[in-house]
Amino acid sequence: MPRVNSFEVEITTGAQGMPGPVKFDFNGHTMEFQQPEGGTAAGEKFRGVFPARSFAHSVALVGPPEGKWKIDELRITYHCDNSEPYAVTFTDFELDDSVALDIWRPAPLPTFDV
Amino acid sequence: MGLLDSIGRMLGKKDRESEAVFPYQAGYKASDQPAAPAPAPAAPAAAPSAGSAAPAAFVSLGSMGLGAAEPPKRRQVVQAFATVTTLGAKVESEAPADPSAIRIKAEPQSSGDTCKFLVDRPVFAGRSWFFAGPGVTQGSPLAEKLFAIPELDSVLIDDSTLSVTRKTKDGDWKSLATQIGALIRAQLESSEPAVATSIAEKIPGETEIRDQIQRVIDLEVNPGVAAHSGHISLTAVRGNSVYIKMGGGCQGCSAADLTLKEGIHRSFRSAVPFVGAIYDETDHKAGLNPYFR
Repeated sequence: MPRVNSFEVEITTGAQGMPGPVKFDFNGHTMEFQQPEGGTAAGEKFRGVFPARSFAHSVALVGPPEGKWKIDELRITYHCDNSEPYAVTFTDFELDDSVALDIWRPAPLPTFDV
Repeated sequence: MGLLDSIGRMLGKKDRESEAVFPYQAGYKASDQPAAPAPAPAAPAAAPSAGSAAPAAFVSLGSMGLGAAEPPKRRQVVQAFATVTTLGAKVESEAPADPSAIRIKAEPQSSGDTCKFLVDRPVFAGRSWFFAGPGVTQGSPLAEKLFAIPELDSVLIDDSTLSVTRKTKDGDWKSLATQIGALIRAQLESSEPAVATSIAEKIPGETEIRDQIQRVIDLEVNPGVAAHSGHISLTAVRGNSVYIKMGGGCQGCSAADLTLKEGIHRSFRSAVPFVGAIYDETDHKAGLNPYFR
C-alpha cells in the first residue's frame, strides 16, 4: 500500500454543473481540496490539490450535494512514495447525490521490453 | 497541511456544512470559498490500519457528538473505467526497425512471484493452458524449455499472454524475464506450435466446458463456501478460459485468494481437465465493508 504524498485533481464539467463545493473522501473522511481554482458550472474547469501525506486505503470523489453532475474529464495526479507520479483519467460520466466515485488506483506496474 | 489538519478544518466548518441550501446554484466557484483559517501546526500524518474498515463515505459529525448537524447521506461508492499513465517516464524502446520483429513486454506483478509477458502475436491462439510444473508439459515445447529454468514454478499461456510464476516472491525479474522472453521469441520464430497439438485437439467447445464447470460449482464449490455465507457464480466461458465472480461472504474476504487458488482452481481442474485460465472478476473493493477496501 503506497503512501500518497499529495494528489491534484482537474475536473472539466460537462453540460450540467453542480453547486459545489467539490469534496472527496480520503480513507472515509470527507474533505475539500486546498488551493481550489476555477469552478464547476457547465463547461468550467476546477483544480485543487490535497497534501495527504498518508497511506491510501480509499479515495473517492463525492457526488454533488443535490441533482446531477456531468463530468467530461476527471484527471487525478498522484504523487506517491517509491513511484513516478502517475495520472488517473476518467472521461464522460455522471455523478448524483447518492454516490461517490472510487478514484483510487495504485501506480501502474513497471513494464520493460524483453 | 496534512490529513489530520484538514479533518480538523472540516470539523470546524460543520455549521456552514449543515446548512441545507448551497449558495452556488449557478455552479461552484473556487473564489466563493471563505478564507481558510490559519493552519494549525503540522501534525504527523496517521496511517490507518488495514483493519480499520473505513466507512464507504462521510464521517458522521452527529454520531461523533459534535453538534446537531443532520447526519450526512451515506453514499454508494461506484466504479468507473479509468486509464492510468505514468508521467515523465522515458520511452523504453523505439519502434523496431524490423516491423515483423516479435515484441514482448514483461510486466512483473505486485505479488512478486509472477510476471506477465505480453506478446504482440498469439502464442496459443484463442485458447489457454495451465502448466502446473515440469511434469505436465505433455510434450509442449515452450513449456519444456521454460521449465528447464529451475526457478520457475508454473506457466499459464492465454492467447498472447503468458503468466509465469517462480518459486520465490523476492528478487528482481529483469534477468529472468529477459531469459524467458528469449525463449518465447525463439519458440515463435520456429514453425513448431508452442503448445502440443495433442492438448489443442482435445479441448472441447465452450458449451461443454460451461456445463461441466456449472456442475462443479453447484455440487462441490458452492456447498463448500456456503458455510462462510459465500457463493461462486460462473460469468463466462471464452475458449477454454473460465470467468467467475465471488459473492456473499467471499466478496472482499481476506481469504478469497486462498479460496480461489487452493479450492476453486483445484476443483475446476480436477473435474474439468480442459480448463485453461481461471479469472476472478469479483470487485473485492466494492460494498460497504470489504477487507480489500
